Amino acid sequence: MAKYILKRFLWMIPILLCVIIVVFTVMYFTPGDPAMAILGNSYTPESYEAKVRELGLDKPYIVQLGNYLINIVTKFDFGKSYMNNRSVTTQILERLQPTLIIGAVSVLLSQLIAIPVGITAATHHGKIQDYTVSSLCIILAAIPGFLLAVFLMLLFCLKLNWLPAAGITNWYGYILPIVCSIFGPLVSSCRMTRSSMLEVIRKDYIRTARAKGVSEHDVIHKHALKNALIPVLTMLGMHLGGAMGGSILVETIFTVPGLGILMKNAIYNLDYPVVEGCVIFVSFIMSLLMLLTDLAYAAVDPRVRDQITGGGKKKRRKKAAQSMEGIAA
Amino acid sequence: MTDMKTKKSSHQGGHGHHDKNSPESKALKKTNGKHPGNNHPFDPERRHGKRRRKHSQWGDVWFRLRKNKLAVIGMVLASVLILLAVFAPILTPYSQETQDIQNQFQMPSWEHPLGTDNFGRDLLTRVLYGGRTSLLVAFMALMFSVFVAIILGAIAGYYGGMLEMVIMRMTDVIQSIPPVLLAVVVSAALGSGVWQTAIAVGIAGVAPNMRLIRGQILAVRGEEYVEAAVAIGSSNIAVMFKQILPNVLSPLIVSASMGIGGNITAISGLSFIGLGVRPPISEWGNIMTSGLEYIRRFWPMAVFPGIMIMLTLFAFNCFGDGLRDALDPKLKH
Repeated sequence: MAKYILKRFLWMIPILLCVIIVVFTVMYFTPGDPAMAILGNSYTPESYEAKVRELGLDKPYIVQLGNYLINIVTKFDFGKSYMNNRSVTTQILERLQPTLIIGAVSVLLSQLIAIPVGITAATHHGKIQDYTVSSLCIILAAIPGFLLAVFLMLLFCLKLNWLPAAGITNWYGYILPIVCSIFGPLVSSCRMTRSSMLEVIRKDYIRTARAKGVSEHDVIHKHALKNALIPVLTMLGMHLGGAMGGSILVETIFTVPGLGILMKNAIYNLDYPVVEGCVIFVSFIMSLLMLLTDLAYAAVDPRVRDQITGGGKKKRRKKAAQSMEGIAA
Repeated sequence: MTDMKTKKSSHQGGHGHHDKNSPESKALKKTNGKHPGNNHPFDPERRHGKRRRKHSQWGDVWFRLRKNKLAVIGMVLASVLILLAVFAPILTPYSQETQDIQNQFQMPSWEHPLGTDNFGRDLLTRVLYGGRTSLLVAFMALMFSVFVAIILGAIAGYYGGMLEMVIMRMTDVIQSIPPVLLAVVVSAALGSGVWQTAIAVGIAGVAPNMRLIRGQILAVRGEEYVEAAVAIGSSNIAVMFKQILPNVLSPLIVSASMGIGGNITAISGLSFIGLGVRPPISEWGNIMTSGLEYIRRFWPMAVFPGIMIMLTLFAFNCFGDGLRDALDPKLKH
């Protein structure tokens, strides 16, 4: 088991390095001249030259990439912002809190709602509850988060004046951004819970449990749920990554000072180190979460555990067979 | 249909040079007498001529799709939206660019069913033209992602080995970047415009489609009719496109029809934050953004494009759901 965990963590390193290379390369080939953008009106050929040298933009691609990689790997340093010369890492950490709160709370809440609702729909398959849930899902799936954000802002902030339209000076400000980010993961988890529950309920071992006289509640919650939730919970990492990526839209609408706005402004200002830092940082978090959910399954689910350690067994058996052959020969 | 065809050709390949007097062909000749009009002794599929053709695979799919009310609603709505987009220039007397500052911010009226925007342009016209851009870019993005996915997936699934390793690790890398951020970064790199946005949105769709195709190919590769095709000396390309691809098609169609909605969301989202397609080209997302500036005194500009996005998503989601159930009735719950 420990070997498997170590192996998975080691596999993450080359993948994350490649993510850094891909993001850096894409931003490197982005048209637009950051040095020009910084200088603006104070442009002279000499100051331009000096700025280019200061930013290290005169060096060839491979050298720039190498420096960037080395700084991240050795010092976790994503470079400095072109605009205000502050370290990208500190800027990200400053802006992380609101994005993380909105992302984590909305994903957690969405799962807390989606799983019971999905189970209810599955256990009442073909009845009114099921139809209600399914049609609600179809309607909600047609409303992307940023549309909902615009509509809710129009209703609650401008017509009814109940909630602040911009900023998060107190916790009221969090309500609408969280509500807008809930529905995406909610709909997808709800559908997935329903369909995987329906699949599991038809399995033989559930019939056996019922035949033994286990109560319906226990059949669903103790026997079926454990298997039905596997595909749902595997998506957790994806959902949080999606919520943090999608924050760029919701944060723009409600002017939440989070990672999304930081990134959006950086794109406009051609502030490439900040854009790269944000994307790489969010990708790190997402990969880590996906890995953790995988590992959690390996720890909890005996079948997955067997698959992992089973590989070891097979090898041992092979070795034993070889040695037997050796003896026979 | 295509599925049957592939099987047929491999059957013929296998048994084409039969001895006419073999017991098998004699037996077939007997049954032949009972069914006049059957001139394919070695192909039981064609024995019932017309009746068989009625129940072709796609005929069955169409039959099941028609029975599903939601799918029919989705299909009709989607066709209406596509037609509105295609015939936008005929449907409206206004041009999408002519500005009329004196008549800006008019509420909906008979002359301007959805009102006018901040430059006094007819909002309905803008929204219709916006649909043109949104749908066009969504389909282009879909084409791009499916095309790249088929090529990479076929290479990975069919040839395997080092190539497969490299391709799979690359998709691992791409998939560990959240799709929205990937689209944002690529869109920032390519700049704004129609095809640039299509590529930015399409790239995010390549990896999942590729995994799908590769998985299907791996599942189909060991089948006998593929072996038969290889045995009669079909080239790799022929096997891939004639034998394997038709069998990979149905999950790919489902994924594509479900992908349109996601693409529309991504495109309007990108345009909404100022990337993607920028004014003066109208697009639902960028009409909404400019509407958001004036939302306090004039709501139609932000709301109507939003409603169009919702209708489009609803239509394509319903159609995609229905198509999935129709193509694979076993999966239907």
